[in-house]
Amino acid sequence: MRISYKLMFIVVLTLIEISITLWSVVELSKGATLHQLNSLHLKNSAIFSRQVSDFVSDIDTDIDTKVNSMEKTVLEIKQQPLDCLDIVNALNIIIMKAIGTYEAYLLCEKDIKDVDKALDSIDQFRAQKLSLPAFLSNMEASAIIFTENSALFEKPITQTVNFLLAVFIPLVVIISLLNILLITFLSRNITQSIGSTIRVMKEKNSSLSQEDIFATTTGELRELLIVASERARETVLQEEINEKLEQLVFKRTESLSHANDELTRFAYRTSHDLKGPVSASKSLAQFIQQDIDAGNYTAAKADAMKVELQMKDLEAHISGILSLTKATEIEDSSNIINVAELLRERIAVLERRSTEPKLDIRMTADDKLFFEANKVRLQQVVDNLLSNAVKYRDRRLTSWLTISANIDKNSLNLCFEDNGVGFPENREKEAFEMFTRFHSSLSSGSGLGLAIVKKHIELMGGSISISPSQASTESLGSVIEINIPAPNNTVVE
Amino acid sequence: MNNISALIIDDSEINRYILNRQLKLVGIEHIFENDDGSSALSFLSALEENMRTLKEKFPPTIIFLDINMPIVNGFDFLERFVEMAKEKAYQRCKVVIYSSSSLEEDKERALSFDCVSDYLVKGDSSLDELKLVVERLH
Repeated sequence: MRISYKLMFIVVLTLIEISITLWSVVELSKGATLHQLNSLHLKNSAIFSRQVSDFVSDIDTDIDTKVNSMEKTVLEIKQQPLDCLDIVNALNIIIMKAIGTYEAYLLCEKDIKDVDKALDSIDQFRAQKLSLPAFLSNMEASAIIFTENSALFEKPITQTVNFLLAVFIPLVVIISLLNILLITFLSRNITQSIGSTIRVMKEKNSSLSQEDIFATTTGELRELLIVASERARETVLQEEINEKLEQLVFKRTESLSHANDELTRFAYRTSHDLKGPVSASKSLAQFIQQDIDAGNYTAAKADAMKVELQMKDLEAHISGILSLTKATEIEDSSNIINVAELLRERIAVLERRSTEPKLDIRMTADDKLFFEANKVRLQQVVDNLLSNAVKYRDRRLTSWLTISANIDKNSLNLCFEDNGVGFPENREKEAFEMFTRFHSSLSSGSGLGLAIVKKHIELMGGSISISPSQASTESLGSVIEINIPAPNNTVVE
Repeated sequence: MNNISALIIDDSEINRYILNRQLKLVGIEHIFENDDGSSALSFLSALEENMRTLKEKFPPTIIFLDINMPIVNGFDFLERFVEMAKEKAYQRCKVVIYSSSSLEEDKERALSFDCVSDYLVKGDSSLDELKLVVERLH
C-alpha cells in the first residue's frame, strides 16, 4: 500500500476518535443540563406549592395579584420541559428507547400538558367559569403533579447519563488505543520498507538485478528508486561522455603536437639539407673568382662543373621532397591489382632505361596474385626499391635481386632481397629517415627514397623493415620486408 | 704555419674539396682527408708507420670533423678517439667540429669532449673565422 494512503488512514482514524470524544463530552454535558433543569423545575414547583398554600390560607385579599404570580410561576415551570425537549435529539430518543428511559421524554411532554391544564384553570378562573374552591383544588393537584413529575424525571435521566458514561468512556479509550496501535504499526511498516530498501541497495555484489530490487518495493519508494536510478544513470552517462571527450581532446592534442613536431623536424632537416649544396656552391663561386683573377681558367672550369653538380644535387633534393609531400596527397582509392603483373611491368620499365643489364632480377609470385591496394602507391614503392637495388649494388660482384610476393592472412607480403652493399650494422632505424645516405659515394641522391617508400606503406596501413641478407655471402646485402593489410579485410581469390 | 697539419673527416667529397682549399688559403699545407670516421680511425691508429713516413706531420694538429657520416659518425669517432688520445703522441691533436648541423644539442654534446676546441657550422663560418680558429691553436 502507498505510504500516502497509510498516512491518510491514520488521519481519518484520528478524526473519528476526536469526533467521538467530542460527541461524548456534548452528550454527557447534556445530562448535566437536564439535571440542572430538573432542579429548577423542582424549585419552581416548590414556589408554586407555597403560593398555592398561601392562597388557600388567605382567600380574601389580593386574589388577582396571587393568581398573576401563580400564572407567572406556572409559565416558568413550563419552560423547563420545553428546554428539555429542545436539547433532546433523534439519536437521544433512539438511545433512550433502547435502554428504557424514554419515559423521561414522555414525562416532559406530560409535564407540558399538566402545565397547560393549570394555565387553563387559571384562565377559566379569571373568566369566572370556575369557582374559587374548584380552582384552588385544581392548583393544589397541579402543584403535587409538578413535584411528582420532577421526582419521576430524575431517575431515567441519571440512568441515561450512567449509560452514556458506561458506554462512551470505554469506547473512546478503546478507539484511542486502537488508533495508537495502528499508528505504531503503520509507522513501523513504513520505516521497515524504507529500511529494507536501503539494505537491498547497500548490499554489495548483489545478484539482484535492478528490476528485482524494484519488484521488492511498492508505491512511493518504488517511484523514488526508479527516479533516483534514472538520475544516477544520467550522471554516470554524463561522466562517461565527459571522460570520452577528455580522452578525445587528449588524443587530438597529442596527434596535433606529434604532427607539429614532425613538421618542425621536417622543416629543419629539409632546410638543412638544401643548405648543403647552396653553401658549397657559394664557396665554389668564390674559388672560381679567385681562379679567374689568377688566370687559372682550368681550375675555374673544374669548379664551375662542381657547381653544376651541386645544383643537380639540389634539384634531386627538391624533387625528392616534392614526391615525399605528394605521397601524402595521393587519393586514397584502391583497385584490384595483379601483383605479379605490376612487378613485371616495373622491372621492364627499369630495364628499358639502362643499356646494359646491371642486375639479375628473379621474381617469385603467383601469376594470379590479386590484391586490393592503391596502385599508385604500390608502384612508387616498387620503383624506389628497384632503383635502390641498382644504385647500391656491389660492383665487384654479379648482382642479383630476388622479389617474392604472397598473400597471407588477408595481407600482402613483399620481400626484396639483394646482395648489394647493404647498410652499416645497427643502423636499421636510420635507413628510413629523411636524407639518410649511407653510400653517398656510390650514387647521387636525395636520401629520401626509403623515406618515401615508408610513407607510402604507412599510408596504406602497412609496415616495412630492413635487415642484412642471409643469402648474400660475399657482401652485406639487404632484405626489405613489407606487409600491407587488405582494405576492409577482403581478398579476391 | 709549416709545422701545422690537418685532417678532414667528411663523407661529402665537395665539402672536403672546399675545406681543403680554404685551409690552404689560411696557410696549412699538409692536409689529410678521410671520408668516414672508421677510415679516419684506422689512419690515426697506424701511429708508428705514419710517424715514420709522415714525420712531424703526424699526428695532425687539427682534425676537422663532420657529424653526420654514414658508417662511423662524428660522435662515435670522438668516443673512440678519446680512448686513443690517452697515448701521449695524440695529445697535441685538437678537434674542430665542422658540421652542417646547427642544433644546439649537437653543439653542446660535441663541446663536452675535452679534445673538441671549436664548433663551426658549414656555410655559416667565414674564411676569417677559420683563420682565427687555426691561429688560436697554433
